[in-house]
This record gives sequence, structure tokens and C-alpha cells, in this order.
Amino acid sequence: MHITRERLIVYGGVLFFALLPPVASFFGEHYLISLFTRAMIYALAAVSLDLLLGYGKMISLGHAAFVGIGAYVVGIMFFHAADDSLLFGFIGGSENALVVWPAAVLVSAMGALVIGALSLRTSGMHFIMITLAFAQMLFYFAVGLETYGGDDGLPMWNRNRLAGLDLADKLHFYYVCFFLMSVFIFCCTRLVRSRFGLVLRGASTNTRRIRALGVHDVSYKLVCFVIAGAGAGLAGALLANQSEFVSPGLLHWGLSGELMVMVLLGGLGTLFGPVLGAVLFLLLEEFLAIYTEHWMVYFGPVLIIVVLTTKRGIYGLLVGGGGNRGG
Amino acid sequence: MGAEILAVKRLRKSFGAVRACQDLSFTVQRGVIHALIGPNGAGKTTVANLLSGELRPDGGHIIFAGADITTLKTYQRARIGLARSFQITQVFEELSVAENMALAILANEGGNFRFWHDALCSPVVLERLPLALERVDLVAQQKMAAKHLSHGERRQLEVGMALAGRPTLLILDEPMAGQGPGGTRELSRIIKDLKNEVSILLVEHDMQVVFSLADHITVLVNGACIADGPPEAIRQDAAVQAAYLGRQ
Repeated sequence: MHITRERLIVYGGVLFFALLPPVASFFGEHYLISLFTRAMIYALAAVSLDLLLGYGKMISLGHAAFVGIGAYVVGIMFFHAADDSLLFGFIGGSENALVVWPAAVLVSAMGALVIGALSLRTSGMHFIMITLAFAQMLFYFAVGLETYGGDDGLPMWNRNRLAGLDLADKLHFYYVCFFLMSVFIFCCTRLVRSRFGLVLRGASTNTRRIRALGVHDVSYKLVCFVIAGAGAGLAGALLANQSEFVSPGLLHWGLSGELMVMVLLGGLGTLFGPVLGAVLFLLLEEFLAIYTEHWMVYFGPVLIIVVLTTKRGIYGLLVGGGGNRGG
Repeated sequence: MGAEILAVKRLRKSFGAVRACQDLSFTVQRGVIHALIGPNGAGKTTVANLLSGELRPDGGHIIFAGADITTLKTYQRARIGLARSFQITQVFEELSVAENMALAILANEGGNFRFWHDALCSPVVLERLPLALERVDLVAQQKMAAKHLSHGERRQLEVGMALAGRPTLLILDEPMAGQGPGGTRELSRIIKDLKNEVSILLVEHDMQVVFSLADHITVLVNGACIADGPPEAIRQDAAVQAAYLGRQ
């Protein structure tokens, strides 16, 4: 098989994530395992956003909405399992990951279907604003959910259960996240090269042309929006488990912005770049925050330089030639 | 089906006070190159946009292959065999030439909600792509990004893409615009070769091209038809000479 720089970086990345826990344990830096678990979850969300930004050219400033929906599904199901009550009077709670996580993905996807269908009636600046408005609406809705903690959020006493594994165990949870992130990214690399992906990339480059070819571009964009929402929902479910806490902050547009920064920093339209972006973002946050709480003051210029000087972020820099789009 | 592929009936369109299209009627026969000519500002591109569905008419009807398509959207018209090229070339800039063409082939095929297999390896693409590229002389450039093609090559690509869906009527909106003499010759040859497979509505400004290619000509001035007939008749028509040829 032809080994390109791109493959080298991807294999290197897989190896890095696979070996991080034993190495970190060996040096006694156990907190790194949690840090990188978080990084992988954020990466999952950022990659899903890259589908929208990089491949569908849909600038959504409300992607956190789907992360939040996913997280709240986990939190609310946990809440009802804990006090043995019913949601809407007929849905029982659950702590089983095999039930709750797919539910989180499904509900996020349905949310994305509704929000996407309405938002995609617009484009450009209006699309940005309407996605933002929907996310903020959900944010205030979550704040108003008194039963589920409202403003204070909803604590979970323990993580979901997954047959054969102990998600409360750092290592187990790390590798579960690693597995899910890898599977999602792999599916995305197939997706963007598939017939659907080609039509989507065409629709995002030239609307007039794609319509003249006989394609109803909006339905392709909507499906992309739903897939991205589902990915973000999975990230939300994992995030809820990681922190054992769900709060309206997960729906806030601040998180949407952070995800966008990860995508731009790592490399727009590269799928692997956002992983780099997420890791770098969390590392910088972690270590700069030791020195100053205003760490963004230092991070801002880094981002500006990367965006101005590279075509496809840090990933594009590493791959050379600006990275690729087709996978 | 009759001999007509397209019938335009009393088509009207205004932009504010500007009447871009006034009670325009004409028919295009199957298997011919039908030219729509007129001086700048005559409303030629408006007609092309009305026919392809990018603009909605204020009144009148468009009958395509016997069916009234006046209310259909652009992508629906494309699906039933009405293809077009644009005055300002519209291709997918960031995609490669092969991807552009593959997309054009797949778009018309439908059933593109397939998420797993590589698009460029789908059977219909493997089967039709080489020929589609060959027809517009772009085999050598197939790996290049469309934005790196020359002006003439981009136009060839666009025509090739319009043809990839095997349309029954092809609307070419000023295909010669901005072409050098070489590009014009190449495109004229391609258009002539197409005559046997597809009816063509050629919206064009370049008179020499029109008279060398067209079987039938409709002359448009200020959004209205002032003459309609074979090239010889148009050449001798006094109204046309006054309105158009006289200024050349």
C-alpha cells in the first residue's frame, strides 16, 4: 500500500491514542487519561461539525444544541432510573449504555431534522443566526427544566452500565471513547467519498449547477445536518458520562464556538484535523490555565495565526499541500 | 410524441418596469439546433433562466415534450431531460474534472443516498465516465481541479456535464462568450456532433456561429420575438437587419 504523509499521520494518531493510557500510567500521570478522554469526546463533536462546515458549507453556530440534547437524554434517563419514575408517564429510565446512548443519538438526530429542516430554508448569515437562535432557545429551555436541576444542572451518581465493561473505570471508558471516535471518523471518511458525499460537496460548491443537474440540494444538506447532529448527540452522551453531570452549559453557544475553533485550528474539511484541533484546544486550556485564568488572551493569537497562514489548519500544515477534501 | 420538443406560449416576465420578456412564443423541433439571438439586453438570458426554471414567469406556459413544466422547479426539469449551460460557466470549482463529470452522471441517475461505497467506483460512473470525458476532450485533464482549467476547457467541461445526464433538450446560454477563435472552433465542432443525440436551444450573440450552426432562428428584441424562421430567411428579414444586423 502506498504510504502517504497523510496515512502516516493517521496511523501515528491511532497509535498515539492507543498507547497513551499505558504510557501515562507508567509515568504516573493518570490525569492525562481523563484529559484525553475528554479530548476524544470533543473531537467526536468537532468532526461531526466538520461535516457541516467543511463539506456541506453550512455554517452552524448551534452545534452545541445536539451535544446538549445527547447529554440531557443520558441525564434524564438516569434521573428516572434512579427514582424509578416515568418520563412523560410511560418511558422508564435506564442506566444501560446500549439503550441510553442510541436513544441520545436518535433524539439528537430528530432534533437536527427539525432544526435543519427549518434552518435550511435560509442560507448564509441567516442560517448562522437561525441555528444560533435554536440552540439558545434550547439552552433557556434547559435552564427552565426545574425537575432536572434547571440552572444548576443534573448530577449523575455514576456512569451508565455497559455489559462486560466498567465505565467507571478510567481505562475502560477511555477505550470505549477511543473506539466510538474511531468508528465515527472512519464512517465519515467513507461518507465524504460516497455518492452522497460527492453530491453534498457539489451542492456546497455550486448551488446553481447542482440544481441544473437535477439534484434537490436541500435534501442532501438536511441529511448531512442530521448525521452531524447524531454524531454530536453521541459526543453529548459520552460527555455526560465523563463528567457525571449534565448542565445547560452544554447547550450554550459558547460550546458551539469552541467546537468551531477546534475545526478551524485543526483543519476545515479534513475530518482528522478537528481531532488535532480538539486535543490542542484542551491541552492549551489545561496548561495555559495554570498560569492565567485569561488563557484565551494567549490562545486567540495562536488561532489567528493558524487561520491566516494555513489553508487547512494544522493538519494541512502537517500533510503538506493544504490537506485534502475527498479523504 | 410530436415533432416539437419545446413550446413556449405567451411567456411574460418583468423586472420592475423592465419588460424582459413580452408575450414570447416559439417552438423548438426535435433534433435541430434552434438559435435564439438578439442584441445585448434583448432578454436572451432571461428566457434561458425562465426555461430552466431559475426564474418564474409572470404569465404564459412552457411545454416540454408534451408536458406543461411551467410550475416545475429547476431540479425537476433537469430530471425529465432539460439540461443547460450558463453564460458564466458554472462548474464545481473545488472538485476534480473527473469528479465534476461523475457528479453530473450520478445526479441524473438518482438514488444518491448511498453512504458507503466510493462514488468514483460506482458501476454507472465506471461505465460512462471515460466516454463522457472523451466527448469533450478532457481525458488528459481529468485529475485537475476544475478551477485550474483554462476558460475554454471549463466551458467544455460544463457542456460535457450538461450532456452527461442524457438530456433531450440542451440549452446553451452564450457558449461562445469570452472564447478565443480556437475555443469557438472546438465548441462549434462539439455542438455539431451533438445534433444527432439531442435537440439544442442555442442562446447566442455571435452571429457567425449562429448562421454556421443553426437550423432555425428566433430573433428577440426587447423581450419580444421579431422574426422566426430558417437562417436564409432571417438573413434577409428587413426588421432583423434594422434591429440587429445593421448595427454589426
